[in-house]
Amino acid sequence: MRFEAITLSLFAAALLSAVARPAQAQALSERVVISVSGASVTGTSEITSTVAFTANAEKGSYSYRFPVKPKPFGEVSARIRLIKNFGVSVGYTSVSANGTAEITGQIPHPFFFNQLRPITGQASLEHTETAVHVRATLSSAPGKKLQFSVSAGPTFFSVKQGLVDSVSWTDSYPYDTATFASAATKQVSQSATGFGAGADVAYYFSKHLGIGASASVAKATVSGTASDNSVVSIDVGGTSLGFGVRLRF
Amino acid sequence: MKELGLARSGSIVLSLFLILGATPRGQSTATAKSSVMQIRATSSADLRNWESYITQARRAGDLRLRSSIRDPLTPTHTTERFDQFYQGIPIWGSDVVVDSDNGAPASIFGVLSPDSLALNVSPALSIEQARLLLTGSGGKDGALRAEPSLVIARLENGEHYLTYSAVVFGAGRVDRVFLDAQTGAEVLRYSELHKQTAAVGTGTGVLGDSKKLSVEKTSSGSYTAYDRHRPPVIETFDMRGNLARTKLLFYTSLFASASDLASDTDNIWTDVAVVDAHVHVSWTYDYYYKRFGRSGLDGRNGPINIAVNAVTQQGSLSIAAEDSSWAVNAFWCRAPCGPTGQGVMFFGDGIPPGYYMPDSGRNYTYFGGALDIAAHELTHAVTTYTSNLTYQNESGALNEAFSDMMGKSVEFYYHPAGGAVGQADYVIGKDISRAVRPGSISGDRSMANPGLYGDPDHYSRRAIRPNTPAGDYGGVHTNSGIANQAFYLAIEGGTNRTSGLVVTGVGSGNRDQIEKTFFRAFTVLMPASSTFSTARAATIQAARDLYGAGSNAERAVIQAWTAVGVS
Repeated sequence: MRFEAITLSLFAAALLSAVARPAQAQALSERVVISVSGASVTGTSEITSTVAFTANAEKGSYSYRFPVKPKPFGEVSARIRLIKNFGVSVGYTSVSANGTAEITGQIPHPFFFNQLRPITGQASLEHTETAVHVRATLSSAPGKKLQFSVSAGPTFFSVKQGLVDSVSWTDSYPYDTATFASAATKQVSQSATGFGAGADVAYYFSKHLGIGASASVAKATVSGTASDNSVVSIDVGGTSLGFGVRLRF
Repeated sequence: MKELGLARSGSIVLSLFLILGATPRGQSTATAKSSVMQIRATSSADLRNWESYITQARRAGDLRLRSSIRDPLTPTHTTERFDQFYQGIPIWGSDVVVDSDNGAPASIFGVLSPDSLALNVSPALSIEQARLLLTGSGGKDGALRAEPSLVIARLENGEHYLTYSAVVFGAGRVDRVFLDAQTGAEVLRYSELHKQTAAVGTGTGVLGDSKKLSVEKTSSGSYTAYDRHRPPVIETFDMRGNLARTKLLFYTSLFASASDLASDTDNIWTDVAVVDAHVHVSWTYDYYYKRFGRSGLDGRNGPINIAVNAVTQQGSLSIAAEDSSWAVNAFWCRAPCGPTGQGVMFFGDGIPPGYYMPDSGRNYTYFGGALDIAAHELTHAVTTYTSNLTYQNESGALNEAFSDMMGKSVEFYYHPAGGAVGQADYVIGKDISRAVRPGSISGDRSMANPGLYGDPDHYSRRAIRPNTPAGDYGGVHTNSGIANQAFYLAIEGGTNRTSGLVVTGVGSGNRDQIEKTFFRAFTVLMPASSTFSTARAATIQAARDLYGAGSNAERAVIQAWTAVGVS
C-alpha cells in the first residue's frame, strides 16, 4: 500500500491577520492555533461488490473485496477563536492508498446450464480520499500551558476509488474449469458531505510552540456504479488519532 | 473422399506478391515491404523445385523442423512442419508443411518470407527493457507469464520487424504483443483468446428442455450449427425436408454447401431436431473424452457430421416404404457417405403425434431427442475406426450391443437415474419411442430385461436369422440383447431370467469400471469378426488389464457372461 499525505495551509489569511496585531501578541490572545499532525485511522473499512454479467448464454458474476487500510497520514488545521472560548477550525487531510482486491467469480460453462466454474484472482485498486473538515470549536481558556478543545461540524469528502469493471478468464476444452486471467478496472470520483467531531489536547512548552494529540471521527458514504449498473457503496473517513506540533498566536 | 466447400487447388505452385509502398516506421529497422512466397505445390515439377529449395534452406538453418507426424489414416504418409528462421531468429507465422508418401513429397504448402530481408537482428532494447514495456502494454495489471523472445514479425503489408514478443495478460485481455526491438514501439498485437467466432446459443430440445449449443457466429451475423468450442469439427446439417437432396449429399459426389448447415438468426434455436442432435452428439464426444480420453470418432478429432430433417414428420406419411429409414430411424453411414464425404450420423424426424408404427405400435418422434440413440450412433462410428466389427451375425450383434452399452453409459453420465422420460435407465430409446397402440411398450430394447422386447437374454435363446437385410443381418438388433444383458448384470448385478444365475455387479457407483472394461475390449482388443466368446475373453482380459486379476470388475464380467450363457 502506498501512502501519500498532502498538507495545505488553508488559512493563510487568518494567520496573517493574527501576526499583524503585535499589541495583542504581547497579551497572547491565542487567536489562532495552527496544528500540524501525523495521524492514523483506527480500524479498516472494506469495499465489496458483486457484479453480474452474461457469458455463454447464462448469468455469471464476480465479487470482490477491497480492504481500505489507511496508513498514517498528515493533517493540517487552523483554529480561530472568535468569541471567548468559541471559534471555528478548518482542517485538511488527504490519503492516497493502493491496495489489492480479492476477486472471486462464477463463470458460466459453455456447454451446460448451472455448472458455474469458480475463479479467483486479484486486482490492484486505488483509493484516494481528501477531506476538508469545517468545525465549530470550544477551547479551554487561552494562554495556559495545557490547552483543551473539542470540535464538531461537517466534513466534505472527495473520493477517487478504483472499481473492478470486468474480469477475464481463460479456459480450454472441456471447459470444466476456468482460470482467472486479468481484471479491468475503472476509476470513479465522487463527493459527499459527512459529519465529524474531535478533541484536541496540547501542551505548550514555550509561548507559541507546543505539542498536541487529537482524536476525531468523520464519516460519509459515497457510491459508484458497477458495469452491471449496480451500486457500489464506499465508506470514507473513520476514527483517527493524531499527534503533532501546535503553534499559537 | 468428398470435400466440403472449396475445391482442391490445382497445381499452382508459387505466387510471388510484390507489395509496394511505404517507408519503414520511424527509426526502426523494418525491412522495406517485400515479397512473400506462397507455396502450393502438388505437381511433380513443382514438388521437385520446392523440395530442392527446402533442402538447401534446411542445410543453411533457415528452415528448422518443428514437428513430424504420421497420420494413422494415411499410414504411408509423414507430415513435417518447418519453421522459417532468419539469421537464427524465427519469423513469426512463416512455415512450410511437407507431406511425404513413402518418403516422396506428395504436397508442399507454405508461406515464407523472402531470403533477402536485409534486417538488422541486433536489438537496441535489452530483454529487461522489453519485459517492462510488454508488461506495461497490458495496463496497470499487465503481466507476463513467460519471458519475451526475439522474433521477426511480418506484417500484412510485407514489412518485417525484429521484435520482442510475449503473451501479455491484463486489462481483461490476453494478447500476443510484438514490440520493435529497436524502438520499443508496438508493431503487432492480436488476441490469444481465440473466441472471435465461437458462440453459445440456447435451444429447446424434443422434451422441451433448455440446452446450450456450441455454434459459430458468421460474418453476416447469423449462427450456424458448427461447434467452435470442441476440438473436432462438429457440424449439423439441416436437410430441410428435401429427401432428394439428402440422398444426393449422402450417396453421390455432391458436397454440401454452407447453406446446408443448420442455422439460426438470433441464436435462440427452436428446431428441436437440430438442437438435440447437435447437443447430444457433442455431449457424447465429451463423454468419450472424459471417460476414456478418446478424441472423437477416429481418435484424432476427425470431423463429426450430423444430418437431420430429411423428411418432416408430416412428410413421413407419404414417403415410399423403402425411404422409411429417412423418417423412422437413426444411423451411422461411414465415409465416403454424408454431406462432406467423411461419414455422417443421421437422425430421422419420426412420425406425427398420434400415429404409430404397425409393427411395434409405437410413435417415434425426433430420434436425436434421445441421448442414448445419439450416443449409440456415434459409437457405431467409433467402432468403425477401431474394431470395425463386421455388421453381421455375432460380430454384428456385438457391434449393436456396444453402441447400446455406450448409449446407456452416456445417458447415465448426464441424466439422473430413473425410469421417467429424460432419466437414465436401461431401456433404449424410450425418450423418443412412445407406446400408442394398447399393449405396446415404450422404448426399443431393454438391457435389463431383453425378453420384454422379444430379444434374447441368453445365448441359448439367440435368434438364428439369415444374413440378409430382411434377416437383420443375422439378427444383429436382436442378439445384441445377450451382450447387453451381460453389460447390465456386470454393473447392476442380479439374476439372469433364463439361467437363473446370480451376478454380483460392481454397483452403479462403480459403473465406470465396466464401461472402461467394455470400451477397452471393444475398441482395442477385439478383432472385426469377434464372436460372443471372443467378447467374453476380451472383456475379462480388459478387466484384468485395468483393475487386476481377481478384481471386482473381473469377477463381475466373468459372472455376467456366464449368466448369459457365453463361455
